[in-house]
Amino acid sequence: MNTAPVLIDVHKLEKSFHLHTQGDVTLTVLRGLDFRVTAGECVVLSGPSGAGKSTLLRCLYGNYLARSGQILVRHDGTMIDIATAHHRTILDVRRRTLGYVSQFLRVVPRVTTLNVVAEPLVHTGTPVESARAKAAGLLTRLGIPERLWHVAPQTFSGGEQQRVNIARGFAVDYPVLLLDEPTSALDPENRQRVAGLIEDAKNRGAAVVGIFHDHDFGSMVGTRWFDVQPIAKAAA
Amino acid sequence: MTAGYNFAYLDEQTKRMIRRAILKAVAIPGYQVPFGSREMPLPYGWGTGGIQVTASIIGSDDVLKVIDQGADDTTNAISIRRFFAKTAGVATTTRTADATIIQTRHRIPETPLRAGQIVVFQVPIPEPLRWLEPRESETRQMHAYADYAIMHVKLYEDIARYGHIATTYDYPVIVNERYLMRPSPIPKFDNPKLDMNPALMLFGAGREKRIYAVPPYTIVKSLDFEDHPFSIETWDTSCALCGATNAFLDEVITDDHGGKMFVCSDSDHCAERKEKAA
Amino acid sequence: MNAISKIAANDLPLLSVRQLDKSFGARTACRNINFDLWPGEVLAVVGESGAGKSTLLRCLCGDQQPDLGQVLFTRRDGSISDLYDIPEPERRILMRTDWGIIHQNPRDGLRFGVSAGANVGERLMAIGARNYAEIRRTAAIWLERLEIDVARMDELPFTFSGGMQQRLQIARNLVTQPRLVFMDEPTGGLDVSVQAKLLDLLRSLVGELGLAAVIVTHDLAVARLLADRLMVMQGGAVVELGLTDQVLDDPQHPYSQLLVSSVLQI
Repeated sequence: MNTAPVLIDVHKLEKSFHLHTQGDVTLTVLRGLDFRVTAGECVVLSGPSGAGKSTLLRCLYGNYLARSGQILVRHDGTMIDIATAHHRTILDVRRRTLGYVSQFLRVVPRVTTLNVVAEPLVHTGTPVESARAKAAGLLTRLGIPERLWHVAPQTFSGGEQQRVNIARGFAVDYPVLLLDEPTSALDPENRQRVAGLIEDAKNRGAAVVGIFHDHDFGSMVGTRWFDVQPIAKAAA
Repeated sequence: MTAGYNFAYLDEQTKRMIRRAILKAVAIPGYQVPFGSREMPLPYGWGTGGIQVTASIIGSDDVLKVIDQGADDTTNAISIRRFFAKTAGVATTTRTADATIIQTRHRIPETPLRAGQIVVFQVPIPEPLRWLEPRESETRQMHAYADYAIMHVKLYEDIARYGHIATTYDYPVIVNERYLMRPSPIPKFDNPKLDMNPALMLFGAGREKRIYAVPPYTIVKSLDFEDHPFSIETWDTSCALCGATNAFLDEVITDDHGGKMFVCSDSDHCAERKEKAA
Repeated sequence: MNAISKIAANDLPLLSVRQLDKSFGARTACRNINFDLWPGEVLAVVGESGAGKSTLLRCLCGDQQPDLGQVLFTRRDGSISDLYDIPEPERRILMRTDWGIIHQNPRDGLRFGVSAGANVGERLMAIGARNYAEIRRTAAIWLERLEIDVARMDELPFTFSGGMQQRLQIARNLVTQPRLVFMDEPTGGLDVSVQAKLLDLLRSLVGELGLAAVIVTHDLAVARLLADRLMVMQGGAVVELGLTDQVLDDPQHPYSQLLVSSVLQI
């Protein structure tokens, strides 16, 4: 039925943490996980806290190392296995294909808000001026007043920082977007604005995977749910 | 010649050692050759390096001229001239043209030198990079690799500070397109005389125990920048004694009321010109 | 054709370290170090004091010959040479054209006896620049780029603040447009606010110039902000090497885990 191309294809993903400094325990968080997302979908991860939703997102981004299994992401028309790819390939996938928006803004101090948002675009080779123009558009859309654009965002309120972070995450039209509770500190009006951005991303054919603490927001932007349930913890 | 001394004061083994150093210096123009400098009967800074070089090359048929700041009649020049008259019994002269060996401090004679003559320079500090780089291990490497950027840094600083290259004496040169060399504290006015000179130039530093040389007809180039080329001093006036316009002039204070005059620093050159004019 | 050759050149590591060992007497400073560094890539080396970070850096930048192993680099013409196989003069030329070294203490990397402009101009003069006005013009451009007031070009470095001295040192290194820069704790010894400014500058310069860099630091926050990859050293050996965020967020080796869990939230 769905003929849209598969952008994320996860096979038998296993992720465990071996905690050497805390009694040498091994925590297995994900096991045998299969997961597939096609273009234009927004898959909302559900499940209890600690079940591994965030872990799954981070594995998709290459931020966490998979223990076994495949994490295929379509990049330049071919499927790249994030679990085994060369680091330069992963960096290239992150630069052009894979966007990740976390809860917190983490950037170099002293850089102005406008440049923080424009930076990912500049790194894809977009001329600085057009990158800034796009950044300005996103900031406007997210209700960050222009007087704040030329100030570094470190002193902003939690909600403002989160919106700057979202603007940064949406600056590049990534084919795949991973959203890890990007709206946790936002009021309903701003959440609505973010929903609009996600809607646009879906319409241009992006595959979106998100974790949203707010069930209603998930229902609003999601095209389907994917349930992540805790597996039995086993000491290795 | 006084009994009790070997010819020209130094013993023959020492002279041989110094001659070997000189031969090496001539073979590698501008390269500083270490040698076993001896205690001499005068203090460092008075020309012990130059005297040892002269003592090693002088023969009984040589004619010696010694100048200090261009003059034959200053204390240092007179005492060194007498030293060799006494210990080697050689003929001495004040005439540049008559001399076969000219030991000098701070000048090259104005009278053009000819093939067969040897000029011996007294050198206080042989290492051109020393003020810029205090480590001998490092300056040796810089010479080995012809890595002389910091010398240009020094000239750059001059221009940045004074608007022109303010170094006026001991002006650094590149010898034979290879080694950076201090020409000893001669005025930069004399630098062009080093280039392609028919005479052999030997440099001796007694305290620092180094000998180096510019063989006859060697290219010697003064460092500079394209847009700040090397130039020599000029004077608006001529020598008050002989009227020379193209010689290096010294400023002489004549009274306590601001009276002064400019005269040739090369006393022999000046005297000769006056004689000819008379 | 041009695009293809560009990609091909990009696919060669700029620097390849193979089985590098260095000991001082009985003490092993570096043991069997292997890694590649690509053009435009920033690698941070972290680990506690005495882990061998600085020795490794010295081996990489030509200051310290390793006992064993190779430091291979790709030249601009694409040929590959072992740093310690080429003649010393060539190595010296390489170090002041293609490479830059930024020391933790500006006193080790600057000439304090000459002006800021001369400090920047020296590398140009070393590669044959002999036009005063041009040297000055180029030096001014780099001072400006490192946010040093050009009006202070003729002042001596000791009149500068620590942050300015560090930026001057960077300008001095970048003026010949190197491809690879080694930095030893570049933000160490600076005020936090000055550190931030320097980090921002370094990051934008690395991005704009396509510089590859090896940065030794003990500050994981600096590593996170500047580096593409992180190399964790312990007892002279590399215990972990990976994408910076991966090593910091999902460290695998016991020592990496200890290191990451020992610092305040970054």
